[in-house]
Parts: sequence; C-alpha cells; structure tokens
Amino acid sequence: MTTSLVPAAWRDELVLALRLRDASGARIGDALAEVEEFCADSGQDAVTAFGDPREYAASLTSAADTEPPRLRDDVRAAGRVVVGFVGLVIVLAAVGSGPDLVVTAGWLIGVPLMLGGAVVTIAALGQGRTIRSVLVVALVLAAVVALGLLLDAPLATVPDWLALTVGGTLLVGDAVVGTVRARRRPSADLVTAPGEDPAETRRRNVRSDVLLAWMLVGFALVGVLVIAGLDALVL
Amino acid sequence: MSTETWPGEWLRGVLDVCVLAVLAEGPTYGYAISARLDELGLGTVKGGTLYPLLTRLEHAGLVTTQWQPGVAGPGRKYFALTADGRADLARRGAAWHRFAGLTSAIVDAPTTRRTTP
Repeated sequence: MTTSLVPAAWRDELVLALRLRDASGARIGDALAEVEEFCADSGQDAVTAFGDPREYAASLTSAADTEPPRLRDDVRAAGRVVVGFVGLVIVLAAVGSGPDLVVTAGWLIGVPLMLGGAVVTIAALGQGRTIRSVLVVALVLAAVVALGLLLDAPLATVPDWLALTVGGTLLVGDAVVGTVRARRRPSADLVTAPGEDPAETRRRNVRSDVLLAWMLVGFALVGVLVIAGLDALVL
Repeated sequence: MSTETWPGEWLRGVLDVCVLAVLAEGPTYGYAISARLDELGLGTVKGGTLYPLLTRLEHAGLVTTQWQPGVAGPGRKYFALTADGRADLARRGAAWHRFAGLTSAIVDAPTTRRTTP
C-alpha cells in the first residue's frame, strides 16, 4: 500500500537500497510496512520520519547480516545462464546460416570466454560494481565477435538438423532443469508484506523462477520466427 | 510532550535501555514507543532512529515482534520484551544508575574536591 506520506520514489529507493544490501524480500516488505505504519500513526511523511532512504537502508542492515557471495556461487549462477545461452546461439546460427553450421576456432574459444565473462560479471554485480560489470559484458562481447571474425577457419561442419537438435536440447534441457529447481527450491525472492500466506509467497517465487527458466526458449522462438520472416521477405 | 532537547550523543548512549524500559510496561508498537519516550521527557525519537534500534534488539533476542492487522490502513508491528530483554534491562538499568550517579557526582563536586585535596 502506498500512502501520500510515503512517496512512491522514496519507497522505490528504499527497496532498491535494501536489495543492494542483500535484504530478503520478506525483510524488505517488513521494513516498508514499518514505514507505512509509523507515518500513518505520526502523520509525518517518510522523509521527515526516516530521512534519506539509502541511509535508512544502511542503518537497518548491519554488516553482520550479509555475507559476500562466494566464487563457487558465481560460477554456478554463470553456468546456469551459459548452457541455455550457448543453446540459443547454436539454434539461431543453425537457422540463420546456410544448409550446414560451420564451427570455427573463434567459436570454440568464444564459448569458454563467455563463461568466464559471465562469472566476472555476476561477481561484479554482487559487489554492487555496476560499471565494471557493464564494461566486462561489453569487452567479452567485443572479444567474442572479434574472435568469430578473425579465427574463421572452419574446423568442422555440422548438419543443421544436428546443430538444431543439440542447441534445442541445451535450451530446453536448461529450462526443464530450471523448472525442476524452481519447484524444489525457488531462488526468486519477491517483496512480501508481513503476514502474507507463506504458501502463496512460495508459489509466486516458483512462478517467477519458472518464467525466467523459459525466457531463453522464448528468445529462441522469437529469433527463429524473425529469421524465418526475413528469409521469406528476401525470397 | 517534552520541551528540552537533549544532545544526540547522550541519547545514542541511553536510547536502547530507555526503549527496553518502555517495553517493560507492556508490548507496544513503533509510534507508541516514540510518543511514550517523548512523554517521559526524552524528546522526539524519529522512526529512522527507532526501527534500526528495535531491529538490533530483536537480533540480540531481547524483544520479539508480531504483526497485528489494522482495522483500516496498515497493520501494526508489536514489540514485546523477552526474558533475556528483562534481564538485560535490569543489568543495564543498574549500570546506568551507577553511571548517572557517578557523572552527577563529578559534575557537582569541583568545589568539594578543591577544598579536600
């Protein structure tokens, strides 16, 4: 609930600041409800009663409450992204190129480079270093494109049907694994008001994770349709 | 409603034990704690100071919390002292008595000290 005493911009800034400090969705919902309650009772607006939202978030979360993410977690998170992403790239390359998919040295070096880049990006994001993570993404993408263009000697030729099967398996397999994981242990952590039914909160967290798991498959379908549409226009 | 404004650094030292003392009167919610402290003469305690302090007390196991639904508008989060909280209040309250007595004696005594070296 948003009252005029708690402006939406103040509220959003508090949520963001608490998220950046790794506060859970339940804790953020709790803090928001405390602000709503105190402002409603005192008649003071949020700025008067609680001051700057970022400073308030800092005073609510002490250093002892959060632990920095470990490298193992970063590698695991990156691995989940990269399997589906490689599948997406293979599917789009197979649909977009000629009758067969040509595998080059640039491609083979590019894949582990993307995995390494994803690990560094996730670690940088975890430490709140947004600019560094954007730079890493830009550099890795530039390097992968450059490698693809420079090291274009064909190492192997894969028939499109095989490339589509492998790419599709990686894509759908990643989504299925993501769905199973979401149902067992959802990692999504939506902001929830105090007293909200934990079962409903869990259902929403699972839904959010399942949607994310199938996002790359959605991208692939849109990409294939766009490429097919362009081909039809050219012909 | 208190009229005197106490220095912030004094309040920082004493606020947690005063909040524990207010909670010893019975479970209550954020603004009621702030209003009660004001009524007792401590001055206005803002939400931005009060809730982080209550969070620290909760993490230390000195208070428990419970949300109670509101009739209209947001619900209220009630804070209640635990047994550890009562023990902590007794311990820290006694220490504050000694400390306040000591500082009062120091402030009052310059003339006495000068006459009896």
